Amino acid sequence: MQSLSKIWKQWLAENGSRLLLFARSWGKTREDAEDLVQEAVLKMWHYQQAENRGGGPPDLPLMFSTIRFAGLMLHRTESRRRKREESIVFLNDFEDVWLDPVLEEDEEAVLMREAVQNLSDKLREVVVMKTWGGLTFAQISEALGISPNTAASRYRYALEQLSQSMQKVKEVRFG
Amino acid sequence: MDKTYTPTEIEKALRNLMPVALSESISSETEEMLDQLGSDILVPIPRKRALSAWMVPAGIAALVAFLLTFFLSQSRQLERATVGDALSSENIGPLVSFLTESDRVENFSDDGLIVDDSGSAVHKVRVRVVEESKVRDEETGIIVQLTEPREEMYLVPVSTF
Repeated sequence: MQSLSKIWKQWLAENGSRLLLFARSWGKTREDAEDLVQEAVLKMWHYQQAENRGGGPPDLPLMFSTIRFAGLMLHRTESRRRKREESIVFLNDFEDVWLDPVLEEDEEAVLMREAVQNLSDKLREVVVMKTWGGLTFAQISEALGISPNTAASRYRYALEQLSQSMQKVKEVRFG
Repeated sequence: MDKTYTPTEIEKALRNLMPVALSESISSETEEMLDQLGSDILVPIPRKRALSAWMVPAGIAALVAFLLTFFLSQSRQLERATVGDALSSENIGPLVSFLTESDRVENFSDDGLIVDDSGSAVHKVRVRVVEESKVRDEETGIIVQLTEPREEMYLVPVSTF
């Protein structure tokens, strides 16, 4: 026998980073995003304790959906004027990155990271769920409340935008 | 240097990035929370089958395991995931399903130039955006449209007249 909390902790160790990456679209700061993840974990814990759900950690689509909803609520309760004011102060914090290159000194990966962070929220969340969440377009569509075709279209459009961003940056740097 | 990235190349480049981990503090905090919630709830560890249970032709055993895994993952994908289900707890709030979300630009106005004491000028533009979301109350079936108008102001520096 093992404790349920241990199973959840193992699951969190495995999935925490991808959940945080998804939550970054909704939290203005890393701390906000981490709070959203924690809030979603708590919500899902209670949800999974229902009679027919076994108590174990949830599937990723449901977890992403819960983070998204928590993020939406966060947006609605915060003062929008404060957000606008603070957005002037909180420009790019070069230490606060969302992604790390797998290989050190991978310059192209660093450029790609910036391009991903600059995608619109709607495109980026699809890329995050597909690339690092490992979800299918059907699962993404369920989590976001859109059709699978829309999910696939957003993903394709995101790849096009990333391609254009990378090309532009390389033209500027190398002529 | 003229390089056009294909979608495959972009996907490969994306896989060369990995999400940063949760910070030490939030990981500890969340683990502590999980311990408080469920350290006294025990569940059975999946039993490892004895070697003798797998004393069947290795190909057949592997095929059975593969098919079971495949069909279990397919059935899991068919489960409908709704945010409303996720919120089913008396500690959390009403059951709602999040359906759609969209942003609509409702109005755009040009407020003219603003010149400060130093002579720098900015062009002030005001945009009214309406964010609309549809949520469904899972208990009553009622669909509610949430509308949140907001006004955004853009200050565009003007360098020439």
